[in-house]
Amino acid sequence: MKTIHYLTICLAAGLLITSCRPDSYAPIGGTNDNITAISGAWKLTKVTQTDVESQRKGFPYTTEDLTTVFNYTTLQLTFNVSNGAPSTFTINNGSAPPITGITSGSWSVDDPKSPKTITLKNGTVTETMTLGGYPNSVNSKLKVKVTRIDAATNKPLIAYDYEFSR
Amino acid sequence: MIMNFPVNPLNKTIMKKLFILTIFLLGGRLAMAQCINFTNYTIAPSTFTAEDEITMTFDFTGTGLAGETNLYIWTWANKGATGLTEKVGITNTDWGNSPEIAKLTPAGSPNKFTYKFTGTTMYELAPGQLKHFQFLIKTKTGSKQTCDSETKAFDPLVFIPNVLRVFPARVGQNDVVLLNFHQDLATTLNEQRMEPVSVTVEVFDNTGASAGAPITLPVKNAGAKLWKAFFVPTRSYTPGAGKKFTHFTYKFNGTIRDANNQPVTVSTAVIDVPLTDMK
Repeated sequence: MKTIHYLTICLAAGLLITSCRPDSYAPIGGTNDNITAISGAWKLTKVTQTDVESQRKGFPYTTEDLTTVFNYTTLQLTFNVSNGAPSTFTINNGSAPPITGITSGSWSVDDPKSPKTITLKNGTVTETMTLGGYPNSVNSKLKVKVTRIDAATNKPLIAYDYEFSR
Repeated sequence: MIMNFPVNPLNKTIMKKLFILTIFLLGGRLAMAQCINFTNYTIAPSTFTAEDEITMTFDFTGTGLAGETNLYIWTWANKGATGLTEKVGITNTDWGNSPEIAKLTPAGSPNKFTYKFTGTTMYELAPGQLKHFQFLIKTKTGSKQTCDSETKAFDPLVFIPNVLRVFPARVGQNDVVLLNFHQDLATTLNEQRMEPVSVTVEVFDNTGASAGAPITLPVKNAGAKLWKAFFVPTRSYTPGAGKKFTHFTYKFNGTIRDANNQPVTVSTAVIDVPLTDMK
């Protein structure tokens, strides 16, 4: 009985150890799920302006919430997709100051699997937005950042953080 | 009663020599005072710290220095700056024989030149010891020269509280600009006592022309003795074809009560703010 008991324990331990082998799971969702998450119509809900240079220097007065300064909530951004890939975009400024220099054209991303930047293009004009996070079931907001750079020194001076909701 | 004294011939000769000497001295002073007015220059970037390299671009077309092919900078820092040492640039070695390091670089077109320098290197001072600089442009021997430039300020590397402050500190023509009035820092009676009502803003383009009639913005109270107003230069004005906005001026307006308790309109000082080229 004692031998059977030890054998049972060894077998159980062996089963436990071998059962702990990591399984390889395929990523949930398709390749272009993040593109799909970004696509569609978005309404601007929050605008923050950051003085990047003052922040770098450690000065006071580095951020300002502009949401209620102008009618930013009237601005709507739409990212269209075609066959799961980025295609065209439109920005209806409403009565808000423009957030980019172009209001329509094509959009693209740096990496379709995990995009970090969105490029808006209309003719020779190109504008870049940095993604702050993908909209998902937990956080449905689209967050993008537009950085303004000193043309003479290439130093970032101002950053605008835009938060959108469906 | 007029008294006639006999004139000694020796005295007459001395007087004549003195007169001629005086004329020469006056002539010399006048010649020195004949500087050439010159303002057709730009500095890139438009705002800069003492640690940034700046590029100055000059166009002497139509000035007394037009046609000169060898021109030199003569520069100095902190003139009149309280608590800071006045210092001349490393270019200022000999007025009658400017060195090669002071020589402007031809910019490809007649009468156009550039000159690059960094404040800390030019004036051999630490960044915190430099507040502003001035310059003039001269021929090598100093036979011709421009008048002293206006004072050009270095962007501070330490935060200096000011009665009037722009946020962000450097803005472009498409940016949201926040104008702040820190009344708690006011030093004049009018600024201390005024009840702010509005801000007057005027925008200028790269030709120096006003973009239009000044606009009046409403003022919001943003806390104890802090007043704010917002605007976007290109939302208030549209630049002309091929033009861009390069700077704007602003002042806060308000009312105070006079001795008869009647409202009197007063304003703060006018502040000129450069607009940075952004991309």
